[in-house]
Amino acid sequence: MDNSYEKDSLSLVGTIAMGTGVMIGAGIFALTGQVAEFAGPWFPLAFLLAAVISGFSAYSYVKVTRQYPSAGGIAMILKKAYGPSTITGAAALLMAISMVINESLVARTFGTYTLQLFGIDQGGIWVSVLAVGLIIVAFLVNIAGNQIIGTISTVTSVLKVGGILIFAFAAIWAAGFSFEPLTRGATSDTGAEGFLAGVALAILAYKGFTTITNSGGEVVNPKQNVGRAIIA
Amino acid sequence: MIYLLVAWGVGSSLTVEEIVKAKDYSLAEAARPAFGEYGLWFTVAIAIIATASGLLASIFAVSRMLAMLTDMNLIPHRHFHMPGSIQQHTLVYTVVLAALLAALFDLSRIASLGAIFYLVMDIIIHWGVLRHLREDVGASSWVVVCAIALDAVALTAFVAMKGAADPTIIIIAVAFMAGIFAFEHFYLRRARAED
Repeated sequence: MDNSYEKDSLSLVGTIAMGTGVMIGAGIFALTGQVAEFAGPWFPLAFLLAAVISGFSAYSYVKVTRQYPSAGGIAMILKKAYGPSTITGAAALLMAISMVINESLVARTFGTYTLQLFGIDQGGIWVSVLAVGLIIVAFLVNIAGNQIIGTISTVTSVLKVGGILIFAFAAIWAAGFSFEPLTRGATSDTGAEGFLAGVALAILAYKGFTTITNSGGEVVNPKQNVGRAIIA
Repeated sequence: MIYLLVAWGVGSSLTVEEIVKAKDYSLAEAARPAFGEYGLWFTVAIAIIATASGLLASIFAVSRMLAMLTDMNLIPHRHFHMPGSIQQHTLVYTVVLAALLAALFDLSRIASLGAIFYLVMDIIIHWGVLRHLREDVGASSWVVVCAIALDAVALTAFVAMKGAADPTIIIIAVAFMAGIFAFEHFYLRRARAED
């Protein structure tokens, strides 16, 4: 990675790469099916609405980060707002735990997808074994040092975003650009409440933007670019 | 936008019934009818890269955040005779907790817990900005109020749906949050008494 790190050195592309780097891992592979289960045939729209909500959410983070550029992270925002109180501690722990939960989600998703290579659909114990195995490997890499993590993140987020885009365009192209949700899945009409519940899960997929705000000080024109990165 | 494209791609390749049946690996399933085995391999390869590197970065971020909370004296810390820095210790806690959760719960339950905790935390942040920081950082209140309202609507709908289908996970979530608040309350009170 480049050592000449300056303020305003992160361009829009860089911001998107960092955000999506964390986001895509957890988000799309794990949650597409879950969101579809709640929201029914219109689940792509649930992702769209979740993006809008995340955009509104980002506003607070961006505003605080702009005022206190050095103060990266949720814990600092909370402390600024509530002082060293019970709310600060508890909400910060909630955030940390929801991230840990996300990790186990990602780890299990790793398991279920890997098992597809062996044609095992409902892996049972193997999903847990693979998930815990991946966590242990990630732990060892983390112990080994930060340098590696930065490099791996940069390389893999390019691979990921490229791969996902290829997947999406290819799937849409193969289906002949037609999306006819009502004719394809009319039996599972889940209603407005189900749709909104799907949105709640889909928001989880956009959580990566909190990582973006951590680097708010280095982002060029933070407000606009963080906003754009979330929309992307 | 990327997610929208993916969702569109999956939605046009599979019916909702098929997606739900394969909900834990829906993208791989969507690649199958369109491109056969190679499509499946490609998708699984991307999934493996994405999950493995995401996990790596995320574990780092959480351990750093917990180390920061320890620094701010917001959570207790005990070394259990381990060598290394505080961040290496919080790394161990992070990994052990993540491994336990991954081994014990299935995907939909894990995702539910994550969504509930995250939305509650998000609302607390916005509330804090609205109440205490709005003028300081120059945030417009209607945007923050909108953010709270949208979060609340999504959270309410989610809890209502999930509560009907799987009430246990809602009880676990509420009990856990109550536990965290009580824990922080007593920990901080004792910490202050010691000062």
